[in-house]
Amino acid sequence: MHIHIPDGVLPVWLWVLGYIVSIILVAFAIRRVRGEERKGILAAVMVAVMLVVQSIPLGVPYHINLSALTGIMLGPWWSIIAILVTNAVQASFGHGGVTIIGLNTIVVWSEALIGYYLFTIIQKVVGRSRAKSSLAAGFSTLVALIFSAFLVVGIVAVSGIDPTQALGPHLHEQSLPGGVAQISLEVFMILVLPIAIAGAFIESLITGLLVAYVIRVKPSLVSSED
Amino acid sequence: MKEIVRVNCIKHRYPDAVEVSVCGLAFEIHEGEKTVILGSNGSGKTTLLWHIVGILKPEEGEVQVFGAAPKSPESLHGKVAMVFQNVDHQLIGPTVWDDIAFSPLNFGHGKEEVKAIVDAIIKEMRLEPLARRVPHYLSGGEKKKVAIAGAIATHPKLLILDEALAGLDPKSQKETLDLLLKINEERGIAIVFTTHDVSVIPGFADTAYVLSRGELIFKGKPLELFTNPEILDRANIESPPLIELLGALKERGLPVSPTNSPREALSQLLPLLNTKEH
Amino acid sequence: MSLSTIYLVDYYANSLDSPMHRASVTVKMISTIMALGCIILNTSLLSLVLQLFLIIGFQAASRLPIRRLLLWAIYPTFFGALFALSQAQYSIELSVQTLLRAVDAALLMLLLINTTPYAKIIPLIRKFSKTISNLAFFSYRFFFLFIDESEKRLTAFRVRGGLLGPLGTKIRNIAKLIGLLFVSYIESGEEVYHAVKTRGYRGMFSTETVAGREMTRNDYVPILLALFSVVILVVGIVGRGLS
Repeated sequence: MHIHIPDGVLPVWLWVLGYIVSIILVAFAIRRVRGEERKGILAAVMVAVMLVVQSIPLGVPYHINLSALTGIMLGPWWSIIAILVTNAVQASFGHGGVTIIGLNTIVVWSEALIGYYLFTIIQKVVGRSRAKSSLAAGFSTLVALIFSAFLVVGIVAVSGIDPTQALGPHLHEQSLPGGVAQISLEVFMILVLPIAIAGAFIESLITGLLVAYVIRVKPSLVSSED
Repeated sequence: MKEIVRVNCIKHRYPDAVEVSVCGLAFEIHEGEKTVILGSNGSGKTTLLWHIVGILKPEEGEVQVFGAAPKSPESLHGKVAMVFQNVDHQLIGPTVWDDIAFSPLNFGHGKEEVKAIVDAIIKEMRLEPLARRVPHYLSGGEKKKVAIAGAIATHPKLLILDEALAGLDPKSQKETLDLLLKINEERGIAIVFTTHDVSVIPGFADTAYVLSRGELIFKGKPLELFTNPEILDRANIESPPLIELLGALKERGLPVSPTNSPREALSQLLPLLNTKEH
Repeated sequence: MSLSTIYLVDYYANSLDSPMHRASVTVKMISTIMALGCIILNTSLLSLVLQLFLIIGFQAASRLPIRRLLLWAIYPTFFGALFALSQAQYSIELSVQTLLRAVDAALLMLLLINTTPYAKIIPLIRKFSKTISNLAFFSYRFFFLFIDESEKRLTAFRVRGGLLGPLGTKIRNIAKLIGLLFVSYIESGEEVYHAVKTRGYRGMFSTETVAGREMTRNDYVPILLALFSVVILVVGIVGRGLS
């Protein structure tokens, strides 16, 4: 789930932390992928794919990300780099604030990570036939997206915590511009979770069907027995 | 003329287990030669070309390019350049100038050298109005021209074009052919291209090959091809109308010889018509 | 963010001309970050409204189609409204501030991207990471390749009734379309890889004609944007202090 929180909602300390963590992860990823030129081109394809598919109208108020599929195709390290670039482009169009690119990278990467590892584990356990690979991809996507939806809720919940309270005297919220987010967690969950979970089911179905199609047409793209 | 490419009965298996082969006659290219490969879709044209530039390696058979089997596309730097069927796939620079600079830069030329190479090519090919344009906004003919410019920036001895004229209007096709002729004459670059359009072959090619279902079934001069009904039939090719007409007239005993040049045809036919009139 | 939006943004950035278009990328980026900082720190309704007019003014001066940009800002505004709604129980003023910040920030980013070709940002990224800049470079190229492909297929898909029928059918059809597009994209990616390898790709690309000089005389425009944003922020802080 791509966080669509605009700039100025989350507290400064939270999105700065998001940037720091994501920069460290991306820097590590860049070292890990050194020399993988061909996969770099595939990563660029996936960036363009993620940007294109989210523009496809589904007739429902949700856009798919294919972040879990990105993880399956690219593995953990190229996927975080691809996701960072995708998020930066999306933020430039107002899809989520610029300040939360770091947090968004972490959230969307969690989908890629879960997608990749769960898919790999399931294939090892149940086999790699077309049907099983398709189900594995769909299930991994579902788990990844539901996890990320709750991760976003967790981030919003954490944003309500004033970290200075742990350190010293309480500071009035209004005196800290962007110090804490005054968001009603309950209202946020009511607004966002149903759409996110419904969307997770839709995307996991689409991903599973997509993988089944790809295996039928070009099996070498997704490791399978077919 | 020195032989620079030889391909002999190659077989390749793609990762999806699809097998392709190009067998039959041996395929040869010589220095400075202009060669056209005719063949329908799926006949193996692209497979043949990709083996020559080192993208594919044969599991069986022989490919020799400038005396050695190509290890990779980079190993043919300065020798072979290619223009792909879909030129959008190779136009990579943010502007035309930067796109032409792509190869020289990657092949290790310094900035000043790259600038000199690119400026010279832009001037030679009269691309000045397009130099700062973004490639994906260009027309089909303009993109083709830019792709060719980018390819000859590495001063190759052989230029390969996959479906050189595909997607171009007649004017752009003529411009492209004229450009290739110019490159061949002025720079001595051997040219190989694949096409479905039989009409362009007689005026351009020194040698024509016909590929039919993975088999090279003809190698020779274009006029020999178009006066060979057996090959034409086997490959499902139609002769250019003018050659067909003159061929038919010759069969009926008229003293004409097949040509695709309207001027030549006129100079052959006029005397006969004038004789008839008198 | 539709496919045509990205295409149009690229067109406006590359084809229109104004002092903002001609300003250097580095100065524009720094000024935008400063202006964005001012928006985020702004807690005055009046200041946020002034900021909105400031940004629209700069968009007009950059010869951008204001109405279209405002339409593009609807999507982030919608999400800003969602968060504003979840804050309404605390304070209506806070709620409206959130909405205005979302709108201001979105319009500011739209000003930047509609006056700065994507290709010009890549040399800047290269200073930080060659891997990321190469990725950005290729994905830019792929994006336009895929847009053309996608639009044709999407049109054909809709004409053939791909989006009709019950939800289950729609989803199956969309999955097939996405599968078809996905395979064609990957194949395009492979062909691009082959093409750039034959062109000798070793991780480098030229940006001579797009990199531009570090500073230009048109840099006063983004600098003014940043300065005015700071002034508006200060006015807001003083105003709140007085009230």
